Amino acid sequence: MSDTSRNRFDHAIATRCDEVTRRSFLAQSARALLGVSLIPAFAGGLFAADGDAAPVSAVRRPTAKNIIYLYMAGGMSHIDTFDTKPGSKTQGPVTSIKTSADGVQVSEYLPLLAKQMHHVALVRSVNSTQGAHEQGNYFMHTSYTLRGTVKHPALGAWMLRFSGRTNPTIPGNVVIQGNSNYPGAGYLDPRFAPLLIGNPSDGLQHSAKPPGVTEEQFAKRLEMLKAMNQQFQSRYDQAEVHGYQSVYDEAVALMKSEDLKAFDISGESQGMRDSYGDSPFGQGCLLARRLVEHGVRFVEVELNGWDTHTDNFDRVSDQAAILDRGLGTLLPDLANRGLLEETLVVVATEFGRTPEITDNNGRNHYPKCFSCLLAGGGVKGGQAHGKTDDQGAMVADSPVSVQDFNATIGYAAGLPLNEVVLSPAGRPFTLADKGRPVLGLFS
Amino acid sequence: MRPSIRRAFALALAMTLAAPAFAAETAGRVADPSAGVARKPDIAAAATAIDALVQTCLAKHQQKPNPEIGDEVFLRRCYLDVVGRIPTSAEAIEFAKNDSPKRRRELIAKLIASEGWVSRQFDYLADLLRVESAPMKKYPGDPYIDWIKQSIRADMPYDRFVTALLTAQGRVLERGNGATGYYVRDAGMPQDNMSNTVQVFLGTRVSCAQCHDHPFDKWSRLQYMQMAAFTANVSEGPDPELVKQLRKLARSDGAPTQEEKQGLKRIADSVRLEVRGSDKDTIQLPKDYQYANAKPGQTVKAHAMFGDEIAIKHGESPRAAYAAWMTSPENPRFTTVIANRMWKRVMGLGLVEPLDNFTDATVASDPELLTHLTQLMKDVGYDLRVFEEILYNTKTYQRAVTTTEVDPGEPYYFPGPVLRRMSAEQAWDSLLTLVLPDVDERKGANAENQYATYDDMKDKTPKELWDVVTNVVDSIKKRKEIQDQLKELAAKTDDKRELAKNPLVRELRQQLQDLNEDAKSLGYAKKRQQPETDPRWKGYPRDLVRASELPSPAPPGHLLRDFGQSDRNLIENANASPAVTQALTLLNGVVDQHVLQPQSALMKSLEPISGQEPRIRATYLAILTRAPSAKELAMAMSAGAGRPNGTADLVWTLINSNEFLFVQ
Repeated sequence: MSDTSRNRFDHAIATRCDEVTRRSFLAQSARALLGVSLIPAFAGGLFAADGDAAPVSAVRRPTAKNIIYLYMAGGMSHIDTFDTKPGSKTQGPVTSIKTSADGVQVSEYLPLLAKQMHHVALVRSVNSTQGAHEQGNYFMHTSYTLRGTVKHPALGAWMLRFSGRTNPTIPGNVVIQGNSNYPGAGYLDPRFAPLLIGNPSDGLQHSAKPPGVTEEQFAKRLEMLKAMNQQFQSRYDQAEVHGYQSVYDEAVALMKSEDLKAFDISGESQGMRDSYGDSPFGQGCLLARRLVEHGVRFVEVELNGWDTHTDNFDRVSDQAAILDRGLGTLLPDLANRGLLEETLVVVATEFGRTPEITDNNGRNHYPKCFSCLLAGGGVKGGQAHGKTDDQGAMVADSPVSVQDFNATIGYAAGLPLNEVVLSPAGRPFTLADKGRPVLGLFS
Repeated sequence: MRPSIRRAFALALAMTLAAPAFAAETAGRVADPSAGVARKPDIAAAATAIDALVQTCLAKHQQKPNPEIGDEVFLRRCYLDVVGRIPTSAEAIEFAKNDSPKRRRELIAKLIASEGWVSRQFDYLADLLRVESAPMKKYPGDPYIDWIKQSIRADMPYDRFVTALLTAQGRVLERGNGATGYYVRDAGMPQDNMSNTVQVFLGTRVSCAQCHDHPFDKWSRLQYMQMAAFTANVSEGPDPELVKQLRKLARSDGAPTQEEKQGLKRIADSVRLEVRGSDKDTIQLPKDYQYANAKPGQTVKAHAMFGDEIAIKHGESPRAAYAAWMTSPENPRFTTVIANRMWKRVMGLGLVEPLDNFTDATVASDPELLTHLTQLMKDVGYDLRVFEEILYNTKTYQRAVTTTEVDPGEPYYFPGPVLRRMSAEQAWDSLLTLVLPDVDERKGANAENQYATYDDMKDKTPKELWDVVTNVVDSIKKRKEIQDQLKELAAKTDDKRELAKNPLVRELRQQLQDLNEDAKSLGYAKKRQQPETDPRWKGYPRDLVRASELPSPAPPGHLLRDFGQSDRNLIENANASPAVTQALTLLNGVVDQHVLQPQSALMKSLEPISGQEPRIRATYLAILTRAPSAKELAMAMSAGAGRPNGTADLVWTLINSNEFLFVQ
């Protein structure tokens, strides 16, 4: 960030916050700029909700122990899913239905979810500055815009970096059906990188010793390998090379874990599996639930195919059916198991889609306003935060930036939003950049 | 056989012991006499010129070049970079036996002329162009894949290759017309297609300007729209007139069933899929157009975003004019971008990074070199094979990789290439090199039977096509009935043999087979994989083929995907980061499943070798392309490697080592 923009930002914040907040902000700025905490007593008092002057501790008791993050890749049409505009010409053929939350309506494409909206806080006023997939996806996942000179970490890596694992024998960060260029650990230690699962029904492949190889033989192989690699690693003192040492250590530890069965969804009844829907995404949601039960802290499941430039209504209806089945089953399943209170479920996407319907019956990219949602993990369900105008074209009330949205997730997980972690080149970054959590979403 | 192998080991060993004696030849001698092609320049002289520029730049920054590499390191690196896989033992021995001072140049020339280079080049383009086997999940992608491979094989110059993509039109399944896949990939998204085109071929990011003036670069939304006007009127999809007639026919037969509707779509989406060009060169500004320089909804004319004006000649299509502008040697970015890309492919890092974010302020780490490479690309007539061959012949390429980390954003002056992890494709193809003989020659699926279906149906009238649909739908219905009948019969007995003898069962099975043929024609029944007919690969699973021969992208969970192969969603979406699943698949999967099987090429080659030490040496040569050090040899001996059961452990260890996975 340039000095001028930092000054502008300082000014904007300072005029909005009361004296206590401003002082702590100065301390915070010093930390951000110098990477040190000047006055420890002040660290942590920066954030305030819109129109609410009371300082809020950034580090507090978390309301969410785990996060299940569902990513709608390609840009989910807000108007056809969570922010319908009945009667507007931008709505097209989609009708709205009532939900279990008073006064909150959603698209007819989401009948199962409609019955779960009492768990859900919709955020209808998310807005991004990035209108292309790669940039938008990266921004949503990292809170920073895509740059050639640094790779920023995604939320799961931040979570492990700040508060570690709850189950040390299995990875704390898992991504199912993710983008092949998922930001992962970014510049943080590769230990925080996600375990990437391709097909959830296959679970974690190759997690057992090959048939016929004895324990002793396996140990011997590892010992020989260690000796081989020592030479190479001392010759090439590079992060990527060392990264391979940590993933091998991790893999070997994982093979011995009692909790490996968490990855195997064939341990679920057929009825349970069917209820999540016969799609990789649905089965991924089921796998996410199992993983969270076994102490995995962050699980992301991706649903691709929302880039509906053509045949928007047919395609959104197909996509929404998959989401509806997966999430509409996940929420009550978590609730029944008593896991929803400690698990924050997130639905995010890179941008919405144009209110205008094109000649191809499609909708194009639209970052100006779109919908995401949070459920469980201390979030007050049954509400819709923020508003867009009658056309679904502009934020009309309580805008939430991408950074604010991510700050809200970090806040729920009790992560230190203002703690600066320097990149190897010495550049200061935080979990959600300058984002401020939306406190009104919590109960 | 044994004596020659022994001799070769001696040679291989000599290579390690006497590395200085095998030091790189001094470049810049006489040109290869075999270089008879008109445009083919003096490779050695061209390489020397590049080295001189690199040397000047290093000196200017008070840096020294890295040491030259010995033949072993060169051999492995060269195979991995040029043909995308490690060399086999036989190939290593062949090189070790060659004591000509020109052996490196000869090896490069041999490899770059081989089918392996085609595979490697395809992998690169597939990531760059987001090539998919099933674009939009419904269209045929193999014709495009075939076309790209054929263009690489036939040395189509890069400027002509790009022109062919940008001006493609007509039926997708018409033999030789696969270039249409470029537009099919972004069907219905002409604006995204334009952003992608500008990013890939002009190294410039304009996607921001699709919606608003670019915040960091100079591009305005108006400029973007004017550029988009060149291709905005191109359309992709099944022939709309045919679709209309088919629908009419379907309705005249009463309400079409779900299956019939689906059949209609399938037939139209394949045999009548086409890219339609247009003579129109205007576009309407969107309703939310927000700047004072034009009005919302206003029609604007196509206009080049930079460089020379694009004048559309009488009778010329707007796309032809735009492609000519794009690929012109005068275009200020086109040639530089591809020269920089090829430099990165060979050296591991671009002179400009990132590759596709050029702005007016962009300065290369070595501007003189980039200017020189740009001119060189023009001089070789955009022949990428020749261009690469020159780069591989430089001393700069044939130096040790830099051992310390190169920080992103820091200028790098190329004292040597950078250390790279194998790409997913290099890793998979290298593992296969240990498993299969003649791995470069084994082919996977191609578009042949799609072309055949097309040839069969291209001249059919709508009525005839509709008959095809109803016939297929009928046969699917019948199939279902027969399958149910067979199930019932099977439920009555536990004895499978008796069941097979039942004449009714036989009759039904025969009928089913015939019906399957019908159903296959529209993709309702899975085509069974062609059985292997080539004796070289008999007994090897059909999906053990190089990455370039597998579906693009490989399915999630495949080793290729674990190692970061692009999912083809975004431009250059591959990655080489470490991941736990990679370790797991090497620890417990592919090595025991394929490499250690008795029929693997490696195990077969080790089998006749007797003696512990020769077996250890042969294992090192096959996997790491080098002889073991004395210490390594002693360690392997004491661990029992080379003995009947110990070899597996050594093979496993070497494949799992960092040294295997990184290209030094």
